[in-house]
Amino acid sequence: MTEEPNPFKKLEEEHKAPEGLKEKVIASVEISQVLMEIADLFTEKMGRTVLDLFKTKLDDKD
Amino acid sequence: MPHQEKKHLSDEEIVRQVIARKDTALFGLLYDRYADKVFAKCMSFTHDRQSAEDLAHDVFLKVYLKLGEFRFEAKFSTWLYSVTYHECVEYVRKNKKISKEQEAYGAEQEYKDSADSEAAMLELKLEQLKLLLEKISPEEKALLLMKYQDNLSIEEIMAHTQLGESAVKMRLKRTREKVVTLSRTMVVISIVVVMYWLFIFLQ
Repeated sequence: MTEEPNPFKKLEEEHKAPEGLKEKVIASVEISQVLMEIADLFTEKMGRTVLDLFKTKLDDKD
Repeated sequence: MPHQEKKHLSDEEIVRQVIARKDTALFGLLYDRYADKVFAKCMSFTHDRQSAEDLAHDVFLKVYLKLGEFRFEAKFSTWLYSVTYHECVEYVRKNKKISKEQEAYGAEQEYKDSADSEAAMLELKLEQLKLLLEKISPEEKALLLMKYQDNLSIEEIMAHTQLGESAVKMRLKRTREKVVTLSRTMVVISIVVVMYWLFIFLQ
């Protein structure tokens, strides 16, 4: 008697990812990457620039 | 090195390179390896191709955004499935009313030990299993899929569910028993219905 395969494994093999999903995922990932870089520019880098500016002024007073 | 030549790289090596170079095309290689499995898991929670597609899209996007949180302690696939189950359970919670029966994990309830519940569950036919998985809560379903579809160890399930060893084992046992009990109940109901119609027909 041949052993029945695990039904959970069969369940996993029932469906394939639709065509076109990869393009949607990669497009969203690329947009997110751009948005994260813009956010990074305005938060971390901008913040550091402003801090450096004030620090320089304080240093000048010294 | 062109992406074609990177196909032999391990998942974890690809993750390292994606994080270091912010290489979205390289992320596509991870997509290619796991898209079918993630989509199938989404389908088993949504039962609708469009919703499953949206959900799988969100899973991959979330995975990309959270790649920096991957600690390389477990396999990438384990981490990916854990994100997938989390998203699927959230989806079901948002879109369905969960019955009180499904909500109750019944920590206070005693279950009789049945050593053969695993074997009995694995002997179920695919269509039976699909039906029964709809009768349990999304968390219980995710637990069974982690154990019997992804072959995760108890330790890996513990890491991804934030549960202790005994809690994972107990929940797995209870869920298996619930599935087996439900399947037996369904068989009994089917026999009663058949006998009823037979009785009507013979009269």
